[in-house]
Amino acid sequence: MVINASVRVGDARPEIACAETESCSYLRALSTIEHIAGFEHTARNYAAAASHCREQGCRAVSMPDAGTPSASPTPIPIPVKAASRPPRLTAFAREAQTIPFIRSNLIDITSDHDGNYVERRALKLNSLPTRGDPLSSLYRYWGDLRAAGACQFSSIDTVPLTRAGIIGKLHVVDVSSGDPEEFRYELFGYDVPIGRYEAPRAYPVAIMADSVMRDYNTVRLTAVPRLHRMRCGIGGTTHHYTRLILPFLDKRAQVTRLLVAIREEAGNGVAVEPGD
Amino acid sequence: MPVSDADGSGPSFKRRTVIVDGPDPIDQHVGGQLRLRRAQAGLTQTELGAKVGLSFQAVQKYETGENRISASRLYQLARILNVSLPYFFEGLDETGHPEETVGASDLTRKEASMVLGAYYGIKDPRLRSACLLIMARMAERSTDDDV
Repeated sequence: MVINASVRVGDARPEIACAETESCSYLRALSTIEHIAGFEHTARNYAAAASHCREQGCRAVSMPDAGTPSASPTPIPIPVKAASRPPRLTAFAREAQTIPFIRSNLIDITSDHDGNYVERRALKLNSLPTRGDPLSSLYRYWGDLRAAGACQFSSIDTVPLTRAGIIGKLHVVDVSSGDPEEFRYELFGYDVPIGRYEAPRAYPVAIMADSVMRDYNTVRLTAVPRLHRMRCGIGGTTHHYTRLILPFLDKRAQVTRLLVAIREEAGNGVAVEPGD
Repeated sequence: MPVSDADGSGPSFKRRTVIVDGPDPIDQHVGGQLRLRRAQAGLTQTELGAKVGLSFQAVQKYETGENRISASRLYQLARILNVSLPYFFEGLDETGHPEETVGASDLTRKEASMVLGAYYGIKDPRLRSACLLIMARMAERSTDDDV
């Protein structure tokens, strides 16, 4: 049995990227999430539905909306108070690690000799809008799971994720290894315009890879969600986005997976201006 | 599940427990069908739970097969989700195991996806038709050869 078109519940379609060779990216992403959560039956059905798209038309539909995510979320302004240049992280130790202390009201800037830079600012989670924002919907859902003591990835329900309209902007990261160099993406958001990588260490620019691995590792070690505003100039293009990192536990209450959600901000994807 | 009929008295049934044996495959299948249908209907676990007077954790346990769904509850869920009772058992073979479908194989899926991708990558409709014709002929010939 595949997803039945007769049970469609909404007219509006989510953002779907149908790659020529990979069929429906949206349903494939849902399939991957179900697979990671351990629901093989649903995963198989989503995958089958994805591969039938071309024959029988797109089967993906938006779920009825609880929070009505806005099409173009209003960016949260970044008050520039100061800028610091933290020491660049090199290789991570395999044993005990210290978590670099970063003051939340500062913007951390790292850059390299090729003109690439990464600006990162930690935002307070309560700065998320209360309604109409995909990241806040996701954070609320995660909060509900945590409150019920069900913060395992196997507890995840794809319907709230679908409603938040954020499937294409989600990464699932396997952080079961203690070594950030071995973190890997089990799902890389098909609608994230920064490339597609198998692991954070695979980012072509070292400062970006270091920054991502450091933040993922911080959430892994503390089990506390983090919200960042990122502005990067990589390979001549500006990437401007807000990133929410949510920890998920295994049965031994260890953080083994992260759900990373991206919200693009104004100025994303434009060319880096000279002297920027 | 039948265990043995060594004493000649016919198949006996061993009582299985989730902790020792894991969820029963039939319960897992029924739970999977429930999860699929719930997602199709656009209901969260919390919303479905509220309709039947359960917590979302209870719905979750039904979906994983960790908790067995009683007949009355299954009837209730079928009505809420607007499906017939046999829906929950679709895809099980006579022995109570999930049927293996050709389309479910990862390899087949990938191959089919690649073929489709390559086919639609040909922009000229006449060339596409020609390719289809060649493939159809090759398939016919392959069948003949097999025979």
